[in-house]
Amino acid sequence: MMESLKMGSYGAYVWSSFALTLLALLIMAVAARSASKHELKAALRRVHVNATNSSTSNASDDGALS
Amino acid sequence: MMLWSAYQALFAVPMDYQQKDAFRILYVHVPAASLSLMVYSMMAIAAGIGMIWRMKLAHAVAAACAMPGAILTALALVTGSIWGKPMWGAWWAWDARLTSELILLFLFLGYMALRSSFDDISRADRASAILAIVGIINVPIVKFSVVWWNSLHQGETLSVFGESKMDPSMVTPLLVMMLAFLLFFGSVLCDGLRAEILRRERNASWLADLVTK
Repeated sequence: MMESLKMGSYGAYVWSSFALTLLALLIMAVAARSASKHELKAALRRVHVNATNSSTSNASDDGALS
Repeated sequence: MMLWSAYQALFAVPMDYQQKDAFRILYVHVPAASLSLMVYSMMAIAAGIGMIWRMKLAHAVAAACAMPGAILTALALVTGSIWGKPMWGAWWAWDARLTSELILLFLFLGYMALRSSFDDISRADRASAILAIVGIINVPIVKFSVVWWNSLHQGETLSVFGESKMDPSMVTPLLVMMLAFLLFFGSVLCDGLRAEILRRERNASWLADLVTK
């Protein structure tokens, strides 16, 4: 078992390559997904702020009229 | 697919008679390197389409390609370096293939840096598209560097039209790994593209309508 993991004297090179590949793929996936989520949240926040602003200005307009 | 081919590469595929077990690194190095070239070509073509037909979506595709392309190129360089140490006795050599792949990484990084240096998206699109289009000249240099120059890097082992130099028991997991990398990149590109479109259209009314639904 240990022999097959050691791969002669090349185990460190092979395993580190596969570990780095896994890390790189994870970074790619997480970075793209988090950027997408971040932009979606920002869009939702903007819509919420715009809706709040428009309702506030409507209320102040009503107050001015009365 | 990726797990199957990784298992095959690490445990099932027989040892190479020349490179011994170090050749197993090629199961991650080759997909990363070939995909890095494909991603750059895709980025340059998308940037060209964006420049010629003024399509914002094409610029968004090009922008979404840059980050995964840079990571894949860096991965190809690092895994190649790890393979080179036991095979060549050196982590790095100023070989044509390695140097041109390093230039590819700088092109990806330069593209991202150039984009981020502009506040105006349309100016960023134009400037970065020019860089991407000019940089595509490096893609055939990377691809054919082992043919055009005396290279330390090994020649082409896989061939699209000709016969492969690898045994079928070794080549199948490699092809499956390449396909798995391609599909993985497709999924990352979709996420990146969604982020890019949301960033560009942040003030669009259709986005507000879509988000409130």
